[in-house]
This record gives sequence, structure tokens and C-alpha cells, in this order.
Amino acid sequence: MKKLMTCLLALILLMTLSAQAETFKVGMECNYAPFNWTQAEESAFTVPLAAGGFADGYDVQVALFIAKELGMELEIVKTEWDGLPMALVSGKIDAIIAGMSPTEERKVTLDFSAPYYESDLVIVVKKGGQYESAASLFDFSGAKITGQLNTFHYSVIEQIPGVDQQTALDTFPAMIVALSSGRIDGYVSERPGALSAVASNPDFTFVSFEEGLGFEASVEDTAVAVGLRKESELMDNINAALSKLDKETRDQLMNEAMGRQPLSE
Amino acid sequence: MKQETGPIIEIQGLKKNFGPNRVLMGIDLTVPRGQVACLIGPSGSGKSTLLRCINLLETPDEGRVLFKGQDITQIPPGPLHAKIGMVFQQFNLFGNLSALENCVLGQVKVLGRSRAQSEETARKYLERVGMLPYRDARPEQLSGGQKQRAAIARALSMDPEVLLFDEPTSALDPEMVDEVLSVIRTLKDGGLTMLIVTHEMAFARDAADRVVFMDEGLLVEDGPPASLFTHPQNPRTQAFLSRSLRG
Amino acid sequence: MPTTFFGWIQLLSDKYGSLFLQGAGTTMLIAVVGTVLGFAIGLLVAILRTIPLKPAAPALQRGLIKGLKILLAAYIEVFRGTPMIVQAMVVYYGALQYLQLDIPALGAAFLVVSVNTGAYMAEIVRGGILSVDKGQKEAAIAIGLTHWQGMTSIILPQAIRSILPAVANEFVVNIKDSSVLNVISVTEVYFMSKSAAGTYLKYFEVFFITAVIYFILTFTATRLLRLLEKKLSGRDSYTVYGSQSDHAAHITYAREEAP
Repeated sequence: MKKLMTCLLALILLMTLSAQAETFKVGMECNYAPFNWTQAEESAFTVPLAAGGFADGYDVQVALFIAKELGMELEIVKTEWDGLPMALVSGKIDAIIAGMSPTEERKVTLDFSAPYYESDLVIVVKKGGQYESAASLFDFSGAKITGQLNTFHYSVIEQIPGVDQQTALDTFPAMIVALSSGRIDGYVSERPGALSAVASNPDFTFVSFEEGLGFEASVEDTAVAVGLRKESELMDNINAALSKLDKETRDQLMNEAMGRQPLSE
Repeated sequence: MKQETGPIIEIQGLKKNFGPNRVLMGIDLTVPRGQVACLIGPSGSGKSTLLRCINLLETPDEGRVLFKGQDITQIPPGPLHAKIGMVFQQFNLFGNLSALENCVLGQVKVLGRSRAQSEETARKYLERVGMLPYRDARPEQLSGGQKQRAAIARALSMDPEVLLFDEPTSALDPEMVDEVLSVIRTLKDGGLTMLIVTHEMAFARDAADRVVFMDEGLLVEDGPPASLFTHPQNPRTQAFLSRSLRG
Repeated sequence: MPTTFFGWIQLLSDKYGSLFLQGAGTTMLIAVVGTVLGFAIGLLVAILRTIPLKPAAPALQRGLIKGLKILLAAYIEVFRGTPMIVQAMVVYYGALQYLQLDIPALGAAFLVVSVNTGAYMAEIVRGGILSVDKGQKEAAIAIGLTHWQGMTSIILPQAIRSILPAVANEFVVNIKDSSVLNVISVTEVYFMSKSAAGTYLKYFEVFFITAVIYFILTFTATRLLRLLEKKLSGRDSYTVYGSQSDHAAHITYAREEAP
């Protein structure tokens, strides 16, 4: 009996060891705090990047969690947004965990897991401006609003009655500049991003909406999920791992990430 | 078969067209060894083209070029070219090399001589043309006359048997014409066969063994300078000479 | 958090300084390798394209030369006519997907930038060769040099010297265009800047630093190439050994500075 147990234990150890040898390659941009960012110093939470620097953020923590559940070693491949789908489809990476929403168009080429975060959409505005105390979409009638290019942030703007929708902008820093200079009155953002923006720009604030007074968007649009190759064998295991992260844990991970982001130092 | 006696250059029925222009309409010419022949004639008569067919810069459309009895009309560039040297109107010294290097390059690469031997030969000929003090200068640092003399040294360094001159002084300022002509005169003593296209009538009369008059792609008159200049037979020769000897 | 523009510059340099430098190093490495290899490719292609087609040569030889020239012309058209970002994605991702060839990102970057630059260089070199006086080629033939010998000893040295400003141009273009390679996971200085901007949400400050870095890189590159140009122009002065009248004289002539 004892011999059998030892053999079994050895076998399990061997299996886990060989499973550990496999890498889980995840693609993300690492330039959108607090979801994924690059920093120069290592910490207990960071993952090293091949080209230099270390990655951290909510997406990184989710990736670490999934990797652990899969029994694999995490490797983060820092790739520009437009290159992510190609990297996945060609096999350079195994998954995209980059704050990507499972839209219909993307589902043509990729499969998505269950959501690993759901956004709460807010509008970032200037303090002391006429929109500071807005409470519903109606209050933004006539305002110059924009959102990030090629995202659902931009498409929901048309829900604001009488809005003066501006050209979409490439990045969040670009929108911050636009707001600072007064070219726009506000931009659409997720709550964590808005909190970061306010931290780096004290003359900003953001308007959040009560249930029913804000944007209407499908779960698909407001959620972000893990992008995978069509019929990937990782799908079931990843979904199993994600189901272990309940809302409380997710909020906690997000808050911790926001606490660690360089801006909050 | 190669001959050791007999004419060094033989041109048979040479025709050359440039597009619709018929530049050479059938040239027959025999050049004995050691002869100094001057080619004269109006612009566009085909003198330069004839010369360039001899050293294979141009490929004739019809006819043959024989060098020492051997048909060389179609051969690719190589050591045989070196035997028929050319001095150009525009000098064409290699701009990235010094005067000395200009004379050494062909010897080393085409004739396979050693560097030391090539430099020795180069210096000998640079001295001959009076350019030895300027051996390290680059072409852009030299005057026209100096460049042409260096170009003559370059051609001589290849130890040619025939030397072709394509209007060697036409691009020079008048002060420098004489220095080049006097160099060419001294080359006569070496037994070198020379074919010189020139407008310098006085030079042709003094230095040439034979003068050939060309007009509109054909050889019109051919003879020793003494008779051709004083008693031209052909009316076209007469017309040309009276025009060019005026003033 | 700092409140002034330069306060932010200070902070960003402190926190992100090492990452900016790494990115700059990658940018420069790719630009240097890409330009040097591209130059070599362009040189080879230009030489091959100028091989003379002798009407007297055997038909097979002429056919081969003609075929080669068509191939090279196609290479130039394709790689000049498509964006480098597309070429990068096709090589890096396509190789894995269709040929099961996993090329590392930096290797793919070198390959793509070299081949892309080579297409432009081929035309630049060809222009340089054409600009060399025809008489040089004729003089080379007249002393019996073969096409290859004439090219390497006479034509190319002169052609290269005259195209150095255009080569410097390509170098500068490569320094800046390397930024598109971030789609194949190459972290060069522009991608690093986007990370800094996305982390600190400070656009002007970050890209001010980026602009300064790019300027330093391009300025250094152009200065170095200018130095090379001067070196290839040869010595400024030459010595005249003994004059005709005084054999012991050594006169040095200085050449005027080129503008």
C-alpha cells in the first residue's frame, strides 16, 4: 500500500512538473492603466516582459490566476492592439487578455470566454464646468463628447439626446489633452480608467449614472473577455477558472491594481 | 591566324547605324605597323565612331575589324582591349583614383602584373608625359592639359600596340593644347601605331605619316600630309581644307 | 504627483528612464541593421540590374539575365508599393501560420526592415550609378576591365559617394518607421512611450521626451554619415613631388571645402 501511494505521488508530481513546463502565452498592450501597464521596477505582482520592463494590472492578475489554474507558466507578449488578433490566430500567443470586448464582429474570427470584467460607463468632465453635476444622459444634451476609436465607448455616445458627437480619438491620453484644452466637454470611460484620469488631472471629475439613467449597452459590449482561437481546447478550463473569481474578488483585484498603479504613488 | 608582319589594323566594309542615321557607310582602311595616321573631316563625318568601332566601344552593324589578322569585332572586354588603347576627348580619368592609381589599376586587374611592377611602369610613363610630380593628385585637382597627359600615361601603361586618340585637344583651353600635342609627338619615337582624330591641321601636317579625310561616313581622300594639304585631289577635301585652314 | 510640465518630465525620466533607453536601443539597433543590410541588398540588386545584355550572347544566357531582371524589378515594385507594417505582419504571423516557421520578433524585424529598405536602396543606387559620367565606363572598357571590375573599382565608389545623402535619409526614415514594428511585438521607443502615456495618462510630457529621443537618434545618424561622406571624398590636399625646375621641392596644395 505504501509503495503504491509513493508511486502515485511521484506520478502526480511528475505530471504537475511537466505541466508546469508548458507556457501560457498571453498577448496584451500593457499601456492602459489600471488594466494593463508597463513599469520599470519589479514587484511581487509583476510579470517580466521580454523587451524590458514589467507588466502589472488587472488583466495581468487575471492572466496569472488563469495560468495557475491551468498549471502553466505565464508569459506576457507585449503587442500593439492591431497585431493581437493576428498573433492569436497564427499561434504566436494562446490568448488575448487585453481589455477586449466580445463584439459580434470579433466573434467571426475569435472565440471568447465568459466575461472577466464588466465595465461601468461614466463620462469624464472638467471640474467647475457646466456638466459637473449632471446626473443623466439628458443633462449632456448639446455637449461635445467623444470616446475611444474603434470601441463601444464611442458607439454609445449616440444614445445621448442632442449630443454634439466629436471625432473618435486614438488613446486615453489624447482624450485627456482634448478635455484639458476645452476642445471637448467630456469623454466616455470605464470607471477605473476615470479614477486614474482624475488622479493625474486634479481638475477633472467624472459623472456616474444611476441605474437606468446611463448608457444602455449589451453585456457583450460592456464586458471584457479572454480572446481565444476558434475551438480552442483552453476554453473550458479558462471558463472554469474564471467562474472561481466572483464579483467581490474581481472588485478587490481591481482596487488593488488601482492602488499599485504608478499614478497612485 | 595572327600575323607578325602585315598591317596591324584592318577594317573591312565597316557600317554603323545609330537608329535611322547611317553614320558609317562602308569603310575600308588598312593601317601598317608604326604608322601615325591623322583622321580629319567635318563634324558628324563618323571619325569618332570609326575609332570607337576599332576599340570595340561600338559594335559595327556590318563589316569586320581585324587586329593583326585576327577578327576582333565581337569580343568582350579583356586584355586584347588593352592592346588598343584610347585617349578620349573628355579625358575620362577615373575620378575616385589618383593619377598614379589610374595608371596602375588596368595593369593589375587586366594584365595581372604585380603591384610593384605596375607602379614602376606607371611612374615611367607619368614621367614621360611630365606628370610624375602630380602622381598623388586626383583628377578634380588637375587642369585639362594635366588630365589629358595623365590619360595618355594611363593608356601607355597598358603597353598597347595601337593608340587611338579621339580629338585629344578639342576640350582644352588653347594654352594647354600645345603641351598635349608635344607629348603626342614624342610618342612617335617608340614605334607605336597611332590613329589620331583631330582638328589641329598644323599638327596633322607636321606629325602625321598619313592623313585620311572623311566625310559623311566615307573615306574620301587618303595620302601623305605633304600632298594632301597642298594638292588635295577631291573637291570635298579642297572645300574642307579651305574652310578649316582659314584664320 | 507633479504639477508642472517639467515636474512631470522629471518624474517620467526617473520612473521610465530605463525603459525609454531600452526602447531607444531597440529602435537604433533595428535601424542600423536594417539600413546596412538594406544597403547591401540594394547594391547587389542594382549591380545585377545593370548587367549588359549583349545581343551576341547565347540565347540561354540572355534569357536568364532577362528573367533575373524581371524578378528584381518585381521585388522592388512589391516592397516599395506595400506598407512595411503589412510586410511585417505577413512575415511574422504568416510564417508561423502557413509555414510553421516561428521567427523571433527581433529577427523578423531585421528581415523586414532590410528587405524593405533594400527595395528603396536599389533605386537609389541605380540612380547613383546612372549619374556617374558615361565616360568612366568607356574608359574602363578601353583598358579592358570587365563589367564587374569596372563596377567595383570605378563606378560604384563614385556612385556610393554621391548617394550618401540619400542613404542618410533612408537611415532617418528607418529610425522613425521602426515604430510600426510594435504590431509584431517589438518594443521600440514609440511603443514604450505609449505605455508610459497609458500608465501616467500624460500625453504631452511623454511624447516630448519621445521627440527628444528621436531627435538625438536621427541627429547622431546624420552626423555620422556626413563624416563618412567626408572620408570617402579623399584627402583635402595633395603633394606635388619636386617641381619641374626644382626636384627637391615639395609643394602641398589644399583643396577647397565642398559646400
